Amino acid sequence: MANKIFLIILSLGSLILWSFKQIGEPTIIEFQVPKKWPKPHYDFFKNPLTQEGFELGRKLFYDPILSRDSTISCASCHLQYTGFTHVDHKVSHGIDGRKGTRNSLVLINLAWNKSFHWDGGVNHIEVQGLNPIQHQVEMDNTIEEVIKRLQKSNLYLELFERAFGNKEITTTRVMKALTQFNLSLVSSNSKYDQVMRKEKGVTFSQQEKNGLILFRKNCALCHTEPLFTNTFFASNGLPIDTLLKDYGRYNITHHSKDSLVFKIPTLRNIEYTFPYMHDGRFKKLKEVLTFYSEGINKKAINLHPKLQKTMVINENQKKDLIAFLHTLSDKEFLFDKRYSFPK
Amino acid sequence: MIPLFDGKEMELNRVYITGDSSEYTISTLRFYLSNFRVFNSKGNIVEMPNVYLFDLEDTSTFELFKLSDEIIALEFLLGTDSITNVSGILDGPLDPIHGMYWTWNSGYINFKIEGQSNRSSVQSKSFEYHIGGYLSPYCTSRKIDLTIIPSHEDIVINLHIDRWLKSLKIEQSASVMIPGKAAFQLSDELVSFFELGHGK
Ligand code: HEC
Ligand code: HEC
Repeated sequence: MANKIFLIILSLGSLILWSFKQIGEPTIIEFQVPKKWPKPHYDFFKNPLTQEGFELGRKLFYDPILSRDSTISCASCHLQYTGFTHVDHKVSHGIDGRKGTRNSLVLINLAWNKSFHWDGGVNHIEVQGLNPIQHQVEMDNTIEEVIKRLQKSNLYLELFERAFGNKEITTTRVMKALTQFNLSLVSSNSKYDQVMRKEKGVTFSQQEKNGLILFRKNCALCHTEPLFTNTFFASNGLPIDTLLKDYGRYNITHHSKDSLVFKIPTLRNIEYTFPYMHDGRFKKLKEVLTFYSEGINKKAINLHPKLQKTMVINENQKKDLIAFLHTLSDKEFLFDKRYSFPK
Repeated sequence: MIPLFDGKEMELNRVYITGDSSEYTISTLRFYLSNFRVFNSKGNIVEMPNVYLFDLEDTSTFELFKLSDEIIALEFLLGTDSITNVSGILDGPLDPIHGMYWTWNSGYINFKIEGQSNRSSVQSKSFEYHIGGYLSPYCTSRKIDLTIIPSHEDIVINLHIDRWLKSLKIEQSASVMIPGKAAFQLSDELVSFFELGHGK
């Protein structure tokens, strides 16, 4: 008799436990568009940001389970402290130490990008993640295998349930979760932003002011405020790398007008995202400026008209420009715990 | 939807020898059909919203849809339309898991055929054509119209693989894997080998 009572209590106990574990609706996060910024390109209506979706995406982003031999995660090439790019590697290094052909891109303010990769070959952020997962020199895996592995993990089953309402794990859900994390990487609290918002006690030094003027005159047509990219493509006259022979956007469109044309990258957090350019050929900002003022081959095909006239910037002005570029560093973003390895 | 080789339902991985002593073995045949518009004898048009992924490996993909109307004509797209190609991640037949999606140059492979032939000049004797691309001027989806004489039999669409392969210059180019002019021309030729067949 006593035994029986015990049993009943037990099952009651587990019932209560179970009802505590009932999973509610995911919590919607409103995507914050910084004041005076343009409208994001991404349509959040189809994939609303939620706390649970973001957390799942973050977990996936930092999990080497996505790669064939479970050694490489997205973060291997996209490190938070360096603006989510690969620090100090000219071209990215992936699985088995294999080298890619391009410098890893920063993951900053992606919600405003219209296309992805240096050549714009990826037309939507939701499909971007398929590329590194299946790329032979990056993660060298298949999406089928990724889904199989995730389905074996009780933790992931629960995270998918929280984010999407049930335990089903599909390509769409994996990609949407990664997308939510990527879209959340918004950097808008650099010194530049604070000065523009006229925050109390924050002002540009004289050198930074000079730099801003030079920047607006020489650079802003392409690296347009406030995103520091106009989200288009251009040739800035970099001579072709003789080893990699990367023709950029031409590889996608096969139009001769796109030969040696590349994505115009954002310059936010540029202090930390070295090396620079699609092949990482410059280590220092000073080298970049020397290239723009002295290194451009005016006969380069498809050279953007803006750069056909020599840019006159002397040594002091280079320092001013660099001082200004450093005001685009956003420490809060680079160290924001919400974006770091999930504990 | 039934692909034919020499007038008979084609089988995967079987060695076919044609009259001109060419040999062909098909290991993969997969393609999209979409945007079906069905014209019935009452003068109505029924639009089918689904995208169909035909896969020779999976006979359950052979039957496309059932309608009780008396059908007099069919119109559909071989491949996927451009909106589908720019809509981000999609489910079902459009899930990239089916190996019909390019990840370095976003977009669907509308038609994929892989196999071997003694006409191929590569060492492994293989050939592979991944036909896709949604951007002009090399958009590869093609509209197909078929007029139907109403009867009580099922409507069968045939693709005459042997005739298509015969028309291809496999000797010169055994592989097309990117969007562009070559893929564009391949899809131009391909459409004429879709025909109305006879009920099973
Ligand atoms: C082996 C290094 C490596 C790994 C691993 C990697 N990436 Fe990348 N990522 C790159 C490189 C290199 C580029 C630029 C590619 C190009 O332009 O062809 C890039 C580009 C991107 C872009 C485009 C940014 C833009 O502005 O166009 C996004 C988004 C991105 N990666 C997200 C991810 C995610 C999510 C993962 C994990 C699923 C991941 N990456 C894994 C190296 C890597
Ligand atoms: C005509 C458009 C244009 C103008 C004007 C221009 N840039 Fe660029 N910039 C680009 C393009 C395109 C790239 C990428 C080129 C590549 O990697 O092949 C680039 C790359 C860069 C990079 C490397 C970024 C990274 O993440 O690797 C820096 C830094 C940079 N530009 C700074 C400047 C500065 C400073 C000026 C003004 C002195 C300037 N740019 C003017 C188009 C432009």
